[in-house]
Amino acid sequence: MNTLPPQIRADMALFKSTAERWASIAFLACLLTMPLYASSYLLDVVNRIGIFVIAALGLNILTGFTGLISLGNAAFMAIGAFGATWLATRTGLNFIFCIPLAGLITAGLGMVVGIPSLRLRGLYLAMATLAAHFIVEFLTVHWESVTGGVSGRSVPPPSLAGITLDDDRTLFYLIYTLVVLLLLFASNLFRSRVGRAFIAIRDQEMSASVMGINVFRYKLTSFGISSFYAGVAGALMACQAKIISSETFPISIAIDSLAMIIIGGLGSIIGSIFGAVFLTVLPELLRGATTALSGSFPALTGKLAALKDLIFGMLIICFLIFEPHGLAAIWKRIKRMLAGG
Amino acid sequence: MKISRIMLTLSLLLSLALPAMAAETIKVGGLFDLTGATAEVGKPFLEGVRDAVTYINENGGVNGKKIDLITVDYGYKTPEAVAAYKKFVEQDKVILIEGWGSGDTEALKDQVIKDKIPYFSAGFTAHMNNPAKTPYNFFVGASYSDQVRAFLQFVKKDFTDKSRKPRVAFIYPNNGFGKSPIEAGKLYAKEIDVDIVDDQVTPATGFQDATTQLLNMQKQGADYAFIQNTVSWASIILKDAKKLGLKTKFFLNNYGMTEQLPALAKEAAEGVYGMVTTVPYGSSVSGMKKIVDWHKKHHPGDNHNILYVRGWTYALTWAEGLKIADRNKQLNGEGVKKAMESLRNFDLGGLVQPVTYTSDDHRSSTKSAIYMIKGGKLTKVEEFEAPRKKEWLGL
Amino acid sequence: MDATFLLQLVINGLVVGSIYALVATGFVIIFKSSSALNLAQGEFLMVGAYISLHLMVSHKAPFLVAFLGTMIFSALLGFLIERVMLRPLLDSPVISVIMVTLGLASVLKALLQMIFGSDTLPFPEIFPTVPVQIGPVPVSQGYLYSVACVTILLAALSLFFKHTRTGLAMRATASNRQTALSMGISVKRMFALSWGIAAMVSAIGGILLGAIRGGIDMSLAHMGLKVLPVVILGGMDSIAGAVLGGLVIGLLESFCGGYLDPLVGGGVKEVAPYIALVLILMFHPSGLLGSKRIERM
Repeated sequence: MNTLPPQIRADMALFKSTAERWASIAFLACLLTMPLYASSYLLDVVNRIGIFVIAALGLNILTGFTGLISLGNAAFMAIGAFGATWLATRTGLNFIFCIPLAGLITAGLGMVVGIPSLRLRGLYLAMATLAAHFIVEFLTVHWESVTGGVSGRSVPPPSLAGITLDDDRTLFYLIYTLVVLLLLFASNLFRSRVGRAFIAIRDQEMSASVMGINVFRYKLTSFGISSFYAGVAGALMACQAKIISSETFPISIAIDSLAMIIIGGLGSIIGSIFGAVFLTVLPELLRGATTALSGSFPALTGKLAALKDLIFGMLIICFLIFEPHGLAAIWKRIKRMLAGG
Repeated sequence: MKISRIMLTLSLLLSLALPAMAAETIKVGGLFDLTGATAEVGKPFLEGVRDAVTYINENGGVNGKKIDLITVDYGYKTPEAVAAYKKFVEQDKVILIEGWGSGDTEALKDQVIKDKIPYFSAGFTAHMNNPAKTPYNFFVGASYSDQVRAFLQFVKKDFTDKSRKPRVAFIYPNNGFGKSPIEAGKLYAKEIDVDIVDDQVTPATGFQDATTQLLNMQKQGADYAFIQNTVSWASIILKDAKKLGLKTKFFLNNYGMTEQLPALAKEAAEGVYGMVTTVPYGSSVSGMKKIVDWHKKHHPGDNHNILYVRGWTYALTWAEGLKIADRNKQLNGEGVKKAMESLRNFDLGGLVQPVTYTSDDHRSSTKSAIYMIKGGKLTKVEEFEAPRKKEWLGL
Repeated sequence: MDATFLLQLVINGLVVGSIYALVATGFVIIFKSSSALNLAQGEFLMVGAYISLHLMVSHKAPFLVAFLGTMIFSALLGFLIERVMLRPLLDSPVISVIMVTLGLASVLKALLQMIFGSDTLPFPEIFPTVPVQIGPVPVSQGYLYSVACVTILLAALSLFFKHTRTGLAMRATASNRQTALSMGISVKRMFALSWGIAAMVSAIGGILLGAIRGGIDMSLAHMGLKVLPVVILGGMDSIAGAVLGGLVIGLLESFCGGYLDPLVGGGVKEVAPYIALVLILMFHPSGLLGSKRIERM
């Protein structure tokens, strides 16, 4: 690292300036003390944001950084959720260890799904992952010994140092510890050779292979890492929901995950955070508005809910056409304006 | 001069505001599906609940207090229901929740015990009527299981061939709602000598064709079939059955037998039977007048149906509980639960069977009516009462 | 082996498959011209169903008028979408186009939901409800029309692409955009045309499906996802493949529903096409009739 020229080192640095470093620390401090003063509802939303940051990040690694579209996020989250729950109930292992183990199971299964399609063009992966979604859905309904079928399974709560983590306050720490760890891993990934290979594959697959990159192997790795993230997110979702069933992970979650990274910013780590925050908070705000207005305009209640889907759809279209780098790019521009102007 | 004018206006305004500030409101949380998978039945239900609440507030409220119904559309996505619930409990401090389907009810059933908040569902799954397991859950009308038992009683009465037992098939979607009464139905059928010859499963999320299921059912020679699907899907099954020329007599549950059925299934609906817990809109029962009058005054252009009436019956029932709790000076979750459990044959003017809850039995009634579609209209045939056995609580 | 039962399953499979073939044809037309997966194909089907219903019920239009109106509306919608959404992304990577169709699907569905509501709306009876007997099997008239439509479309589109100038121009554009441009073909017009035709073809599927089901609601959009196994099986750039794929998938579902569902307790019928998709990707990605060049890097 220290042998690289200063310009490259600056470019690769985690924090681009002292101001940014302090801002991040202050933000982290606020975040860490949240469970002390926030309401249960707010923590519920914040926890869900954390879970989707992990899921979106995983998908971004695959789609944003490596250029492979996947519609399988919901299926992989389901594998993680049911895998972790099954491990915990079957072996009595503390759920907290089941989370990373479920991630590994999901990564393994993900790569199995990936193998047939990763030798083909990118859009074939989209279809294979869609097929995987329905196959996983079928299994969650019928493989009752593992998943509990349509009645579902209740999730044994994780415990740490004797404390059971079964409410929003305690789960917050678990979720955000993982969020921070996985964010750091991702940002290190893209400063490393592996991450750069992913980006090369996305931008110019032909040239990448000519340069000697084993395209298939790196695609598989990307797919494995992405599935690991999705599996962990799914296991955390199981913790938070406490009951999971075949209805917990419909295809809309996969589509929402794609929306998050498109709106947040493809190929951007902070974009994954923006996307997750945006797509979790906006429905809550819209719902609050709907509820408040439904007293005076009862006829609006049904329409305002479809409005959310309309807004998301329009944002996906607009961002893809005008600002493919999403909210992350807008954020960069704002920072530049504040710093330079 | 000017100052005294201002003072006068202010004091006038204050005197108007004071009674408004003094009047207490009772907060009730409402979780509905207006845009999700069950929206077609969820929307009219909400409208019924909302109109009934306004009617109650305009006619004396709860001993003078007004009900504040906080409406949330959770689109049948369980995490959103859970989030809305947390808001209800912490921010709005509700003392009762009008919930909706199996998704939200199952997810929250343990939490409502912890928070002591009575939870009404528009889902009639028998798993929620055993206070030993779910002391804070209620619903108004016979459970799906009791509806199936009533259906089986009809089968026993209707089947005249003495040479063999009647053959019955169950058709249902593969989810909690669909599977809810099947086990209970099979148990009871065995008890009364009815043969369950076939189970046919339809997709939970949507389909356009049920031919393969019906062809398989045809092989088993079912005389009667009970369809545990909602009206849109039931109508597809009925249309395919008619196309295949099946001789089976079809029965629907209280979410299949609605005024929408003849509109969707058209001729295929003719002669079809169904279970009814809440009476069709416009039926000649004493409780219907206020609903029809309200409709004429506020919604003359709308088409109202059984689901709308169901919404009314729910609001009228829990409002009664709120009144009792208020009189006992126990306007909180636990007090409302106790008040509900004091209802004995609470009469809603024929809109639904009289409601009784006790602290060890939350089955409001085990009676359901069988209706038939004659000439495109729902026509009453007969009422059946399922036995009220203690070992069937929660089944 | 119960021969009647088998025959019933075969005929049922073929007629249900004909609707899949219709929707898949629309999908293939778009793929052929712009190499993009249109994940909003199901929504085009819904638009067709809802617009025709609206014209027949709210405006009391006779069926033929409503049909023409729906065709014109769909074509215009296709042109509009191509102009507004696809044109700006001409030089973007293909995955952007695929993702923009996801956004489009959301927008169309939300608009339909806001305008028409989430209730299941009864669809007027266009065909007499008396089923037609084909051997031992009664078949809804709607399905017969669907089979007829598919046959006519297949013939018409084949003639169009092989023997008309516009059709040849579209194939040229699909094959090599640069060369087509240099030959004076208006690539933009070809794209617009392909989206317009695709929308119309799906709309026909929507009208037929509405008539067969008797009612329409938001669940019609599922067709858009069902179409993917069909085109993979048939070959993503072959219209004949789309038709063949549709029929085969219809048969597959019918057999799974008839023979396997009773053993497993349901669900095999719905998942079988996706298992087929994965198997085809593993062993023969170009499908039955697709051209080999399209899939490997």
